[in-house]
Amino acid sequence: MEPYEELHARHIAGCPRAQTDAALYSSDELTPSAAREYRDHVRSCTHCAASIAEERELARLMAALPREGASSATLSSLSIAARAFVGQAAMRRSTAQQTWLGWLHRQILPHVASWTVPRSSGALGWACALLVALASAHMLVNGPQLRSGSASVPAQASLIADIEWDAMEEAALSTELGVLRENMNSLAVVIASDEP
Amino acid sequence: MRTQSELSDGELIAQFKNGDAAAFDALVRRYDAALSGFLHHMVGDAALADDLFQETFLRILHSLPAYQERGRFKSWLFGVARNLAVDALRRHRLERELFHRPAPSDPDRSNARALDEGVADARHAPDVRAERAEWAERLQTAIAELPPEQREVVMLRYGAEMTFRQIAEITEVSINTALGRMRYATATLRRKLGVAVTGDVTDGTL
Repeated sequence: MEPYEELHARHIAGCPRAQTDAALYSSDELTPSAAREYRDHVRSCTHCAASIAEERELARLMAALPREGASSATLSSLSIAARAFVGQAAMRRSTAQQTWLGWLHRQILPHVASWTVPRSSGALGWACALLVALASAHMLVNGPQLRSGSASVPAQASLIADIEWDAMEEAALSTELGVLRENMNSLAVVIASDEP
Repeated sequence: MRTQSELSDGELIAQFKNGDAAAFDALVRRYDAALSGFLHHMVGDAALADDLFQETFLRILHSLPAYQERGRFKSWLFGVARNLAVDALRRHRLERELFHRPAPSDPDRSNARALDEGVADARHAPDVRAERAEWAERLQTAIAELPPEQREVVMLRYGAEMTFRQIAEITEVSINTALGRMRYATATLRRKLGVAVTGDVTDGTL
């Protein structure tokens, strides 16, 4: 038998608790009461005392090993990646606000406001409400489609595209609103001329 | 106000989620030495370990927004690294080589003991640096010659200072299996290094 094995058999393998509890005690994984009980046991058990000593000595030897971290190039690239990731996340948040919330705000609220005006004026009110509903349905269907192409482009390009789209959207929206107003005025004239 | 090095992993992750990229740098620095050492011993190649270190943290970076902090970041980090290392070993066909590496001859026990004493009491050794380097190389060789499943337990326990419960979780085995692997690894290291058990814990150091 090798000297170490003899030593191991004599000093450590002689107690079953030296195989498991010693390791768990050293790694601070026993409950406080179990740890107290095991400490009492170790004071009278040479096998467990030897096992804990061995564990500690190995830990000391391992701690003395030179520790080399990752290369500076790797650390730098990770740092850059983290910054890019945070930047992209901020852009995504900003873009999301500009797209859905902004889109809803700009397209729904003006119609809701215009809807309340003619509601009390009989046929004119119904005609305007119908126009508004048709216009809203048209924009609900077409609005998101205009934006769908920007999902796969890089974040910066996507942001620029979003800003450009917003400008185009506002221009188109004001044109549509102008047409709506003209239609409403025409309807109002027709209805007024039909009334006795 | 506390510095980032004083913050817990969970606090750093929360800062990162709030847009502080420097918090991620702090996490990387915190686990730099332990994770690099673990990966190096797992794959036995410094350049590959460096690549795996980067890949590990990139995966962590992209998963962090969905990560729910429950005090298990370290286990998660080393679990990702361990899986990448196993995949890399498989990919590079190193597994077979590591399992069948020829056993070294037994070291000169007296020499090993002298080296160990040199590390323990550096003040009295004139060529302590050379001895320490030689001793470190001997220990690293002994670790590298362990079977992979024992080597990872040793590195997670002593390199990353993980508990056996964490080790069992990362390596996907029972805690008794993890303890058993450590027991075999310890016996093998002791035999190869030829260092006698000299400690005594009945002297009030418990």
